Amino acid sequence: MTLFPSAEILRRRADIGLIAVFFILVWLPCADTFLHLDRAAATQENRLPATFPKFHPSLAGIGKFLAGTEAYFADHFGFRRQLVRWQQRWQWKIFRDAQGGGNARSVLAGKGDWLFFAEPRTVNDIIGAMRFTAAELEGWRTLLTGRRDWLRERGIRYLLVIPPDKQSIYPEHLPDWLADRTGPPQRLDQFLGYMRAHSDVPILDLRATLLDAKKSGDIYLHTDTHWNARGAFAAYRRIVQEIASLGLPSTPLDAEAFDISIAAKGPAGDLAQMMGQEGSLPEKNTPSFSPKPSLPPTRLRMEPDLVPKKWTPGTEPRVIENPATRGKMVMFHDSFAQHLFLFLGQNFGRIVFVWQPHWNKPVIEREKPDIVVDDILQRVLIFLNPEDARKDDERTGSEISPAAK
Amino acid sequence: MVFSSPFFLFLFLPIVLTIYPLLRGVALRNLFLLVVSLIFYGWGEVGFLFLLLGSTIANWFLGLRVDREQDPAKRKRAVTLAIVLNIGLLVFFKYTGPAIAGINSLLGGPLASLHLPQIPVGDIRLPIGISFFTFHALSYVMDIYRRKSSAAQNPADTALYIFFFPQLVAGPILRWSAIAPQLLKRAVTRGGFAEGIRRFAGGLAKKVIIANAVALPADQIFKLPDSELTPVLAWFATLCYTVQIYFDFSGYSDMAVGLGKMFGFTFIENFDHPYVSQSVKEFWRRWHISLSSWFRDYLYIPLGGNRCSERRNMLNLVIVFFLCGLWHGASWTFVVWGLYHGAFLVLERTRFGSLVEKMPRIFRHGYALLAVLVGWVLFRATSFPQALAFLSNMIGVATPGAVTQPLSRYVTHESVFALVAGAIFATPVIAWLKSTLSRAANRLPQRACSALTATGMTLEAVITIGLLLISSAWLAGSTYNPFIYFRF
Repeated sequence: MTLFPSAEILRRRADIGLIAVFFILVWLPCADTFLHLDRAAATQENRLPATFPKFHPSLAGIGKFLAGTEAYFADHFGFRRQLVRWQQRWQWKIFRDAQGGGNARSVLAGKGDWLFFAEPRTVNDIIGAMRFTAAELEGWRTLLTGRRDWLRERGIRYLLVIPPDKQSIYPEHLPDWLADRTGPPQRLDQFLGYMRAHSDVPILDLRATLLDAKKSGDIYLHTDTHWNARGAFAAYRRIVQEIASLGLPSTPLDAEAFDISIAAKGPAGDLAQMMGQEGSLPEKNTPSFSPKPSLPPTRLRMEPDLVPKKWTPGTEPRVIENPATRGKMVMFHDSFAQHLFLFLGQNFGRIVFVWQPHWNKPVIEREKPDIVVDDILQRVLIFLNPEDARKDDERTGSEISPAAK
Repeated sequence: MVFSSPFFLFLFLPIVLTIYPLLRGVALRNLFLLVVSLIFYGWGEVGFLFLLLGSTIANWFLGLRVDREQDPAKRKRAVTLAIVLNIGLLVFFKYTGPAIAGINSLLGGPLASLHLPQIPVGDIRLPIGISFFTFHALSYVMDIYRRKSSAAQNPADTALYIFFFPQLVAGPILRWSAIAPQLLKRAVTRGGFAEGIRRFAGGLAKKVIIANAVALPADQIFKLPDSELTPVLAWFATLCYTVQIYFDFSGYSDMAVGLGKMFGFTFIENFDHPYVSQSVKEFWRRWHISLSSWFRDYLYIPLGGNRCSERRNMLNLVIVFFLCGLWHGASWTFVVWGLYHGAFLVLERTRFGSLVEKMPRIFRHGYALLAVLVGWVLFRATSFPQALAFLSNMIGVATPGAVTQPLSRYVTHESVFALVAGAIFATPVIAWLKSTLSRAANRLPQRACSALTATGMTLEAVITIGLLLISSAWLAGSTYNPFIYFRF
């Protein structure tokens, strides 16, 4: 290209501008460390960011220190929040792939505003590409019959409750490519078939109850993995009926015992948060149940010392007491049970909720409950190693991080 | 440390780029670049830093001997020693473990009846960039031996040539004869620096926006059990990988060339739109140019090149491509990939080549692209059975398993965007656009021409900054690692 004199000047100006902006861009993240210019909302990653590494004067120690500083910087560099927010926004607005990078790729955008937690192995389970081996099934039988027998020796009943994954109740809202492949029997069916054939451990599969309940309205949150209060209420009624059939007579409350309200717009669910779409994907028409004043009051309190270990805030053991009724329960549970606290508290005098998939036998022996309920979510159950769970049961009382929310 | 990481982009690079122009004199600047290059390497591979530094000193010493020695026999002995040292280092770290594992599998399998004991193999880790390191070191001693350049008087110059961080872990493979003069005299100009930024930003965008987007489905599909593959999946994964490897590698090379310019260096261009080739021979003139020209100058020509009998020439090609495959990785799949390409080069020297040349242009493009694409299956597969499963699916002769994976699981909008963008930018479309606009501008009156030039330059700067910003956001996004359950 022939450069006119003015073009040379223009080139110089463009180059100087480019160099200046480039230097500003690459220095901004460091500058933000001191000036705190990044005003974007913090990202919800459900993990502790990397800490600054400790230095050990050895070759391996230096290597670890250097790798650690890089990991630390990746979690803490200036403008990270703003850049991550931009990336999430652009990715969602432009591509609509519901993949926010990293583990958020396990969020799957279904039809409408339905989101699903579908990590790769869950998808493999849906399409029938993952089956339990005979050894795994036998491992489950050994674990559950062992738990049941240990309780039976102490005169305590046992029930395993399996809240279904959202896609088991709403396969029609999955994207077509996955909805079309929900036919083959899944690991849960395999598990239930084996357990029914080889043991008499009481197991409550809630799928039929919830498939029936969804006829009266949404029972799972659209932007969250969990069921909503309506779904939890249906599950509660079925659980109490099942417990009654085990010889602990109790009657579940009717919906009329509660004031039911609907929030037109609520905070985004955990899946929308993983995608960084809290603002653009609010939860809509969320039902909530409040006990009517005619119901006896219950007391719910946290008791972290019941199981001494380092609890993630919000997951500490809870106790709910209802002086108006009798019966004691210990429930080892996951995040789905949070929505059951309110309801189950109406049917038992005292319930201890421990948020972990493995047992804590001292708690059971101390509480001397009438029944122990394991609440294990479908996706946890089908991928939890029963042998690990059995070993964790044996390590009762030791420091084990909760594996389930 | 890699270029496409926040640590490099937002800490290492701004510090180095800011201090560098403040230093006066080329010697001080070289020393500074050496120190930061050693830090760059040590950050990822501190355990091998001193070993490779020792090797560099040995190469410097032997280079001096080769340079100063007048006796041809002694010169030859010195250069041979240097070659053995460098190749020995590469063979020990890269090939010993796989070779012993291969022998052990023979001893435990077909040769089990001999009852020979297994050979103990320790944990031999591969130093990052050892293949590039070795070829740089070989170029150093060979260029001195051929009197193309003098030996460095200062070992720091040799070390900087080998360890210079822009080219250290992924090339381009530089020649000592090309770099030595630049170590003595070079200038950082405004235009050069700005061009460096443009190349760096373009390379970063190639890697982060295009290559990474297709890397995910390619990786996922190549990890599937063979029984879950379908023909469309195998084709989609191969296409994704074809785009990934080019945009990843050429993006990294662009970043290296750009960084070199920011420090006043001119590096060899490593890629020239290889996917527009019309033959495999042309592909190798456009793909990883610094490697193919290295093999040409330091192996093919010394073997006799094409100045020998036709049969010998073909053998030379096979030898070169066998070693080229082996250089890429210590696995038989790489060797077969190299031989596969070598076979095409041999074939293209026969009547088959004349036949290809007579085909319409579109068929020539199709032939070359298909040959390269099938080659990538061999390159990417982790084993021959996997490569065979992919290829048999691609030609539709595989028996589908009971459960296969749906294509839609992997075809995201982002991957489709990356494939389309990849197909466009794999052609010289930008150069074509620039030259077309330039020609059009030159035909306009001066004022209009200036206005158009100003618009073009501003647009170029804005696109560069935009690419940097988008790439930074995508990089930050890659550090975002959320969990559905809280993790300590």
